[in-house]
Amino acid sequence: MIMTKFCQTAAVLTIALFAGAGHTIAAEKLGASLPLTQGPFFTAQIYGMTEEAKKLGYDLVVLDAGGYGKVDKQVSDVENLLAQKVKAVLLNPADPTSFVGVLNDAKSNHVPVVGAGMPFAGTDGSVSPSHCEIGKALAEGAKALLPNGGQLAALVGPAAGFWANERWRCFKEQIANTKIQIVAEQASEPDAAVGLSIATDILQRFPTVQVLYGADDTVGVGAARAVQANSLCGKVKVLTAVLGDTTEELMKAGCMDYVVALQVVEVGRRSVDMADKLIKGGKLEAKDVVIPVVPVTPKNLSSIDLSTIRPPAH
Amino acid sequence: MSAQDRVDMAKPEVTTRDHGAGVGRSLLWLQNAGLPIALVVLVLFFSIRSDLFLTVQNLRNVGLQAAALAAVSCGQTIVILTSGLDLSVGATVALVSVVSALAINHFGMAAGILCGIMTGAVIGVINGILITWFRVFPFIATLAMMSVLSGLALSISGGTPITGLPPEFTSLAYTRVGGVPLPLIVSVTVLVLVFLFLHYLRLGRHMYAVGGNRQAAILSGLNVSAITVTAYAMCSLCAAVGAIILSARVGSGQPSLGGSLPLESVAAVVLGGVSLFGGRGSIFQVAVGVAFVSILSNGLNLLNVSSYTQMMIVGGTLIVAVTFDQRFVARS
Repeated sequence: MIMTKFCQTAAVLTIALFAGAGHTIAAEKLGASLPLTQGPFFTAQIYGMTEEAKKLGYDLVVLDAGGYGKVDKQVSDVENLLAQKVKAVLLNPADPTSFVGVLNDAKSNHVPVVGAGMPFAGTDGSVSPSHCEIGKALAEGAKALLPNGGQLAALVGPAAGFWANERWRCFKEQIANTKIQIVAEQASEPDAAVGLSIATDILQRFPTVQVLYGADDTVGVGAARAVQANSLCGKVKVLTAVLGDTTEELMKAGCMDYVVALQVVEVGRRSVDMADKLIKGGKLEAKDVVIPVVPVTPKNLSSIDLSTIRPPAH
Repeated sequence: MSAQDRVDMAKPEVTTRDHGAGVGRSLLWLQNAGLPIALVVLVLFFSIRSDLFLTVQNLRNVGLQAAALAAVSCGQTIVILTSGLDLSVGATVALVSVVSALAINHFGMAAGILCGIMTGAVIGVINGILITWFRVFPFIATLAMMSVLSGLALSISGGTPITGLPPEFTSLAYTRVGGVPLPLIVSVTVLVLVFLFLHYLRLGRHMYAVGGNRQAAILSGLNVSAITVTAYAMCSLCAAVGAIILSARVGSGQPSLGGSLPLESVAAVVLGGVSLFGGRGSIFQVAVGVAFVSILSNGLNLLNVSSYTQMMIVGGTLIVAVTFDQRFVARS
């Protein structure tokens, strides 16, 4: 009885699966491999890529590795894109040192690879503000918030996250000869709730801290929420990167003081443009294109052009 | 009651017993043949939906991508056969990756790989001791161990990948023997060794005995603690092999490698018909489970199914497999 029912169900499912099946007509495809597809940074990057790909007549395939820790999965994703015969790969790597083998495969298949978000060895070109440049811009923000020096505590982002390490390394190099003193640095998952908990602990342990550094707007938002919950807005300044909706709201509420806004939509658009040129054999004006970051403070917030920074609101 | 009445009353009992035996046989058949049939359907489905699926390049990719999962799943199978569970396989992969990379940079490739394998064995022995001597539930012991090992991997590496590995190590992942990727050959070798161990060595048969009925195994005079420690050591050894494969693929020692392996390996093992209650299952069925998980992921990518949907499909497939195990096979 059970067997008969199972066979009947299986038969129905099989028919349903195959119904309407047919060979997909191969369109000109672009492949994008990202460590994540969620959060203000990646949704903005995908928006820029999708819009530009549509404009240029490409079908964009976006693969999500599932997190910064899943480097091996992202290597597999690039292999899968090559198997799909994409015309070019837009790669924002979780860790650029891990792609040597698969980039060689791409080269032997004559598939150009564009570093979409950072320049790194083995690609045919890149469009970015590099994470090091973002770290340096954050350092300029820290100097602006603490012109006479002072105490800073940092939520540096995920442990072993390449982007977080790069930002933090360059930030520290840039403030090395100033009177800014780093009293605490904590790694955490890119999660606002985790950022909130850690920032709350830091504020208790270091009541004299003057600036909280959040490596991106997930932990940055957590830090600002902690400042808000302790009624310290304006007294403890918050510095972060990526201007998402929540970051903007917190800045309007006076609890976020300096944001290094990345023109992520523009990075997405320009990386598709670069891939298009490489596919068509055109000459690149520059191999590594740097899209400048935009420092945002409560003073200039209302005058910022958001069209290159994030997708339009729903 | 006449003799005729007694004969008539006995008839339905015989029929019920026959029916029960028939259902049991059907379930057994379904347990053995269900997944291979599902795999064939899956392959047919993806072949029809995507003309890229059956290309040599794609099949090679599937093999390459399945290699590490296959090695880890072999170890997970041994542990689950003893009615245990190892959630620390992913963190073991991360730690072994970091330790091997550091050792390779200092002492050369062979010594580095050996160092990684030994690290795996030590982790497994610690897991086994926690579970047997200290009587910590396998779920809790290996979950806690996952945290310890992740922290250790990050601490040793300083949170950054260990780079500078010699090209001959990195090229291991991309070497082909007769067109077959070397990592796949390594994994198939592990699979065959585990098969031989489970079916032809007394210790392997004891793994089934411990998982099938622990009390009976103790009463039969088996050293259940030693068998359990061995199972966890073998599991971590297999994870170490997976770590070497993945490290070669990414060309570095990564402190965050293998994060998805606990779920994927349990999924492959359970899909392969190994009972979470222990004592029942075959390593070759697990190989089919690994193939199913890998092909499902690859095929969905080729069909450009969103990664969010993919997560739901993989999780849903696991729920269906476990439900089948709990409701039908275990009961039968």
